Amino acid sequence: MDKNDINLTLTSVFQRVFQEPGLAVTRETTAREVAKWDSLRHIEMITDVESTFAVKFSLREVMKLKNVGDLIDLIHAKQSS
Amino acid sequence: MEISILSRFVDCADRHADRPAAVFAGRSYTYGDLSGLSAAIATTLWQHNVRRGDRVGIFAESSVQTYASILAILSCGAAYVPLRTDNPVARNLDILSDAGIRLVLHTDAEAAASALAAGTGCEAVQTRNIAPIADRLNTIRHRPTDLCYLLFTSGSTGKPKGVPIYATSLSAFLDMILESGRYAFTPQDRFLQMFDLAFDPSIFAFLVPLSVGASFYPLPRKSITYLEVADVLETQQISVAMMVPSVINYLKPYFGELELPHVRYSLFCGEALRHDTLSAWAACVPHAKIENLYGPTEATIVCLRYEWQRGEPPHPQGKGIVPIGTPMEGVQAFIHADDSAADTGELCLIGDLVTTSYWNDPSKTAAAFGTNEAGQRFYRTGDLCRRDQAGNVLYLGRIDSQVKVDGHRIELEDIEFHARAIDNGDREVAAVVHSSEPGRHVIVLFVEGEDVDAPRLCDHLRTRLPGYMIPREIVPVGRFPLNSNGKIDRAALVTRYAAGGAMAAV
Repeated sequence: MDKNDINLTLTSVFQRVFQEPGLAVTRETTAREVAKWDSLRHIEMITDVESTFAVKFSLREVMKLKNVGDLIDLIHAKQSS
Repeated sequence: MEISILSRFVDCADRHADRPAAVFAGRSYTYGDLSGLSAAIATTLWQHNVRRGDRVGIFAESSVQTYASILAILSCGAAYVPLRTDNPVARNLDILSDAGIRLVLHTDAEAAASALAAGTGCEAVQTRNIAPIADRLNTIRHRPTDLCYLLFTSGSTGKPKGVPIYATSLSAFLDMILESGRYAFTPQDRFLQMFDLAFDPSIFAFLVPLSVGASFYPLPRKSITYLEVADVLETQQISVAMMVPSVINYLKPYFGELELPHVRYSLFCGEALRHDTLSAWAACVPHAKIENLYGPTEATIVCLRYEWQRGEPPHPQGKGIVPIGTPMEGVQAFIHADDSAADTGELCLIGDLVTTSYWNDPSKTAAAFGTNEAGQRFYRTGDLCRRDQAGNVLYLGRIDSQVKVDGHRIELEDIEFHARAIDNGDREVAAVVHSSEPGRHVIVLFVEGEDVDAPRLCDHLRTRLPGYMIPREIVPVGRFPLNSNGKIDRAALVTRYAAGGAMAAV
């Protein structure tokens, strides 16, 4: 899956987790910009991403994520390895 | 009698001027830095005629100026009133008005501070560019009745409720923590500071280290809290970690990756602590003394403690929750039940740690505070508890609609009050807490009618309530289920929501 496809699938994950069908995310989107993005939503989003993309993240990998772009790159790297 | 809240800090600054006092995202400030900055801000406060008994608002930002401002305010004999940066302007205006604040300090919250100042006559002062001075912090000697801080918690009538804590209580708290011999904190200790300054455990997390010559490590507050906590615990080699249990609930999937041998004290407060999660967490902090601490804001941070032993089984009567233990110095606890033979009832607290009233609110004061036959004031916590044979208090739940979500104290009636305001109060509403998994709580708001404009209601609530009080979901309900007393059956709502039932058909 290339990064554009990951981005598309990730958008649907975010819309599902945040219960906002029209939610748009970009590589630059961070937790501070999405009102509903709290600790619980974050862990639910990570769990959903792991399930959707069949990958598993370590705590250190999750801690390093600064924005959605980092998450796309991490998923891509996991799937490529 | 006079007491000094800050004398220990001033002594530490004199003796350890070059030692680190506070470390923000890798930038360290020494005791000399903090003392010099506090002294400079205190001078500014004097120039603005801040005097003993005044209340000064302060935006709860994660900056060295914020902590220096608190020390400066206390040094003048004034009280600090933290304002959450994520509070809507209307909520901070309510606090400003109720507390009688005429000066607000901030580091970088210019827009929020200006919004408060506009039209209220309140002055906003930015502390970012105040330069430290060489003078030591000159602190007054407090009288027992001096107000030290005023914290506003969620109130059931739509306005925040002020809890005043006076010097007699804050002094008793510091004595209890520092002089009882229970905790052997040293200047080498590194304290985690994960709390918003509007939440009183923050005082433990910064004032206790500053009173023993140790250092504290606030979170950057730029990302997700539990991840920032994990990062600071590990990279800064924290030795004293007071946390809300929600943090370890969220970190549980990653316990296998967390090795924190430097933690000497792993302390929990703010909400119910699950035995199973704590048992798993214990392996992450193999050398730590582990305690469950209890204390409502009205009783000055913490007042009961339970020392948890590694390998101990779940308490047979605790329903999976770790006991809150026995009272510490400065407080007595008793359980009040209408039936004197009952062993379960409302936990009540008496002593120097306990404040005597709410701020400017006689009716709430009358409801929550009383006077016993000996003339002592006591506080009814609203916590349903029982005592076991060993004398440990067990927390069983609430007797009212107050809930804790991620450690935040929330009156569900506060949410309902503001939700009712939309559509001219024509719709009935009910806010409940749903637990999707053990330890993970969310607020769900049910609103009468099948034509509920949930986005509009959510937007309205965001203009009245802080982010942590916004319901996760707004659910239309055709007709509310009623219990045998004719009141909304909240348990039935939660059950049907959990089952994923069609709420509109209820």
